[in-house]
Amino acid sequence: MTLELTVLGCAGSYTGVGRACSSYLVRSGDTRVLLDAGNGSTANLQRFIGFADLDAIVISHRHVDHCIDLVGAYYALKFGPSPISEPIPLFGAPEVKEAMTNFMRWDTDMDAADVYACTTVVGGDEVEVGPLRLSFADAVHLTPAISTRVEVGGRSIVYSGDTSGLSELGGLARGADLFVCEAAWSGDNEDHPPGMHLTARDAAVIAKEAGVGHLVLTHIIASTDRDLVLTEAQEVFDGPVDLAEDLATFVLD
Amino acid sequence: MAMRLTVLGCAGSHPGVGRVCSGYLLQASGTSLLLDAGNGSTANLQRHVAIRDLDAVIASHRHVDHCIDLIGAFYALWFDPAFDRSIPLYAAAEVEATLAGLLSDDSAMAFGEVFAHQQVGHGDRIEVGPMVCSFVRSLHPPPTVSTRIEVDGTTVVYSSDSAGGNDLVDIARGADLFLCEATWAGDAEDYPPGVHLTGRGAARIAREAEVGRLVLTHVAGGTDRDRVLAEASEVFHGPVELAEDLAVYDLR
Repeated sequence: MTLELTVLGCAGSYTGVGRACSSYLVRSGDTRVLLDAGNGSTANLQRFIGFADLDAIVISHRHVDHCIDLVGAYYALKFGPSPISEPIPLFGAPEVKEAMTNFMRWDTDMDAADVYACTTVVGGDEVEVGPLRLSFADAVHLTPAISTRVEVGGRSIVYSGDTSGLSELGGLARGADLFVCEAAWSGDNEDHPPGMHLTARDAAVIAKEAGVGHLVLTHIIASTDRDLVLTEAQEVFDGPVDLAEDLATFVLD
Repeated sequence: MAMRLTVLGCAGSHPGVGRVCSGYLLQASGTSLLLDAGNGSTANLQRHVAIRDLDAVIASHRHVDHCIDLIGAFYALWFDPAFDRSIPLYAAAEVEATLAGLLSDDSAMAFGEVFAHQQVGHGDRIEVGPMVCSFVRSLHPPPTVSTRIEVDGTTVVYSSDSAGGNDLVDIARGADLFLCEATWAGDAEDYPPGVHLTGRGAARIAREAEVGRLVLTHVAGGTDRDRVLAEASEVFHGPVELAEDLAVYDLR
């Protein structure tokens, strides 16, 4: 069965020039899962499918640049031309459910639970969405955060979310066909604040040790030199390496 | 003196297909003013001007689809070694508290250093370089302002989210370009009161205010755009069009 990932937003922390914040659409057959929903990303989502076509949503952590478009999606799903009949399953790291509740209360005093059936997930949890098996590892970030693995029919995609931790992510990424990993920064991680993000070389080390098939670097902060990120990752990881771009699709068949 | 309006995001309430949320860039004589910063709008802003080069920001109200990209803009500026000043943020009541509420205590302190906040409301007037900006209250659930920007006799008026009313007519009077929300098509009676305008509602304001040109924006993703345009054109007989992301209007 084909498994594919489309980049809806690849900008790190804040929007880039013409780039929306973090979001990825994973599709296999008729099953569609949204991984994160950063600022502006759902403008790209709707080029492919409607909000109501989503079978599940995974939110890696509560930061605005990974979840804020769910506020607007709420209005589309509740008040749009074809309102949903059942809330959409939403698997979120700890604090995501509370953040969504607060976002909707602050914005218009609506109840997030009307539209999103939130389940909190942590490292080691597994859930099924149609034929897809989703498993999670704890990420190392400023807030509770998760990395996600999606598998179907022997194909696998792993998405880091935001993390600064190598070992947990390495375990989850083992043997993945496609590894979408954050590389917020170039250079040495000692030059950046601890506990937040990976550098390109960090991402490539994880990819190498986990033996992944294809490394896609994402969440590159707008002030980071993208070419340098690619070069530094290629020095470490010998397999194919790409920089994510909004609207790029990677197909595993 | 010329003024340029660039649409950065025209989607209403949530992103549309390839359209991001409310944001507009006004430029005159080297001065750049960002008017609202909805989700995704700053991706388009940066095609034209770097965040650090903005001279001021106006935030019309605290709803996510009008101000949330200021969180990301804050981080961009806070960590930018080349940024060593504050950008004035003229915001309706509740905007700054809402944004600061999303940040940790340390970041909230820094937010106030990056953005020099001044609350604006009905009757206020500010200057940004050659731009003279005035505000009226807008009919919308949270505190909201409609904004008039004048540069040497050339005028743009932005409704923000509004259910219309006399204050909007007053501030739009004689504008060269009236950027007015038209969230819905059909009859206003079919929608909740006091929240948004229809295409016809926007056109009535434009007609009464005798504006030169009407640009309809904030059309909701579920609204029939062609119908909004057709219904507005029946009421307002000057030039009418629908805003599109990245559209540029040069006024002189």
